[in-house]
Amino acid sequence: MPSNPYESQPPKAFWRSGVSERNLLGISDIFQPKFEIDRTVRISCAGSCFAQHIGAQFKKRGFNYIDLETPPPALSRERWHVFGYDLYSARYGNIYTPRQLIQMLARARDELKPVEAAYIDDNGRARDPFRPAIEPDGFADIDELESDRRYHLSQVDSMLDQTDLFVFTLGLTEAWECIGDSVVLPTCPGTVGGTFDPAKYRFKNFDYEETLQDMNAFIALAREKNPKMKFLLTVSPVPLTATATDQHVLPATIYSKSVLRAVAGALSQKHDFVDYFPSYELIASHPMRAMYYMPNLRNVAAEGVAQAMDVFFFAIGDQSADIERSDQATPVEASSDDLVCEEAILETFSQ
Amino acid sequence: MSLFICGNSHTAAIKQGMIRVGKKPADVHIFALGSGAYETAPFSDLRNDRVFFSEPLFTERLKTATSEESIDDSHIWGLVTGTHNSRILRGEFWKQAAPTYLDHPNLRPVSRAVVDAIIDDDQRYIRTFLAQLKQINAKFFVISCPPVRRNSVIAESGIPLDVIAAIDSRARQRFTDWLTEQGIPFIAPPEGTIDDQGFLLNEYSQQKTVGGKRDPHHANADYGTLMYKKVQEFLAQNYPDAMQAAS
Repeated sequence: MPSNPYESQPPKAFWRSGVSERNLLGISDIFQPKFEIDRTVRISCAGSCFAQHIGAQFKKRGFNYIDLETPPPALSRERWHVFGYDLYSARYGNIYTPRQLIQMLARARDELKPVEAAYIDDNGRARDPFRPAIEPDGFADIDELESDRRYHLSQVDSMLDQTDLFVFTLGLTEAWECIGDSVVLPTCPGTVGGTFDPAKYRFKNFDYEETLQDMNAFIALAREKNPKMKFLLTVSPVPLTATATDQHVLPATIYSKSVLRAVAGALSQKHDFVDYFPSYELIASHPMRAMYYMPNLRNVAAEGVAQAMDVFFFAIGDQSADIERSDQATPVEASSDDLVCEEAILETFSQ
Repeated sequence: MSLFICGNSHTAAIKQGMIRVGKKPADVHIFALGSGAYETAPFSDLRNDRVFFSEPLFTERLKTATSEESIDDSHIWGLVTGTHNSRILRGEFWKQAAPTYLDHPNLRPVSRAVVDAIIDDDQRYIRTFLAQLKQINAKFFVISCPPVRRNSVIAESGIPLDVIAAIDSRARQRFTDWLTEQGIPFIAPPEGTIDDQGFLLNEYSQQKTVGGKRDPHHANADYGTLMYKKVQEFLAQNYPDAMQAAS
C-alpha cells in the first residue's frame, strides 16, 4: 500500500516527468477524452477565433460537421471567410463570451429583441451589430440586412436540434453591452461599424460567477433540445488586442483567460458530458516558451494550431490527418452541358 | 491582317450566321476555342508581347485556325466570351437561394455583395485574358453570348425564372461595366431577340444539335445571322479596311 496518494500517481502527474523532462512536442497524455467522438457524431462549433481551427480540422478529417450556411458553390474558396462562410456551424462570426452565445440563441428563438438593430453608415449601408464583419462592406441596406438576419437566425435556431457535440471556445471576459437592454455586442461600437456613444454603450468585464452562470444556462438550453448533447470546451490562447479596463493589457489578459479556464475546468469536473481540451495549455503555457506564437506574441502560428490539433485527434483515436472534406464545393459547370457545348462546336466547325 | 472570331460554344451560331449571309470580309475566320467550362480556370498567359493559351485545347484550335500558337497585335479579334452566365446558375444552390432584392421569402437570401462576388469569380479568368490582350495592344472586341433561355436546363431544373433573369442581367451588367472601364468594345445581343424579362426568345433558340440531341442553351442560326450582321456593322465603323472584300 502506498505511503501517500502521490505514490500511485502516473508520471504525467509529476512536473518533472510530466513536463520538465519531456519533449513537449510529443506530449500525448495531456488529454484523455471523456467520451467517444467518431464520424457519426454531429458536431457544431462556435466561439472566439481559435474555434475556427477546431472546426476546420473536424471538416478536413471528414467528421460529421454541421454547417447550416454553406458558401454558395460558385463563390471562390478564398472569399468564403471574407463573407463569414466556412468559419463556424452558421454564419455568426466570432462569439467571444457565453453571454453573447445565449443571447444569440434567444434572438433566434425570438425571445430577445435588441434595441440595437443595425449600424447604418452615411451611404445607407447596414452592418449587423451582432456580426458586424459578416459582410465586409456591410449589407446594401437595412432590408437586405434584415432579410439575411432572419434566415441566419432561423438556421441558428435549428442548430442545436441537429447537434450531438457542441464545441465552444471561450475567448474573452471583456465585452461591450447596450445600456438599454444589456445586450452584449461582439465588438465595441466604433471599431467595426457603428459609432461609440457612452450614453448607449457600457463596458462589461464578466467575472467567474457570471461566466459560469451563462455557460450553465447555455448547457441547460442545449440539453433541452437534445438531452444527450455533449460539450467540448477550449479556451482561446489568443491574448486581448486591448483592454478597456484600467489595467495593463497583460494582467488583463491573464485575468480573462484565468476566469475562462476556471469555468471550463469547473464545468468539466462537474459534468460527465462536458470535456475540456487543453489547447490553451498546449500553446500558451510557459513550458511552451511562446514558440507557437508569432513575433507579436499574440497571433498563434500554424504550427501551434497543428500541434494542438494533432494531440486532440490522436487522443480521440483519429489518425486521419489531411483527409480532404467530402463536401467540398464542386465545379459548377455540369459535364452533360459541356458535352453538348463541345458537340455544338464539333458539329459547326467540322463542316 | 485577318479577322478572327472565336470563343466558347456560342461562336457556333455566328458561324452559321456567316454561312447564311454568304459574303464575308476579306479574310475572316470563325472558330471555337472550347466550351465555357474552360473559362472557370486560368487559361491564358502573357509572354514576350504575346498572349498564349495555357489550356492545350485552346492552343490546338488556335493553331489549326491561325497557324499561330499565340496572339499578337497583328490581327483583329472578335471574342465570344464573358456573358455565358448559365454557368453561374447551374446546380442545386439557386433552387434554394435568391438574391435579397427579389421577393422570395422562402428561399435563402444572398446579399448583393455575395452575388457580385460570385459573378466576379466567374468572370475573373476571362477578364485576365482580355486584360492581357490590352497589354499587348491587340485589336479586339467582345461579342456577347446570347442571354439565358426560358427553356434552358437551369430553368427546367426548378430555379425560379426571376432568379435566373436577375443573375444573368447582373452578370452582364458587371461584365459590360468592366469592359467600359477598360475601353473594350462590346457587341450586345441583337435587338428584338430578347423578351421583357431578358430571356432569349424561343424563335432564336437552337432546339436540337445536328446529331438530334436536345440543345439546352445555344442560340440558332437566325440569331447568329443577326449577330453576324451586327459584327459586320461594327467592323465597318471601326475597321473599314477589313470590310473591303465584303462590299
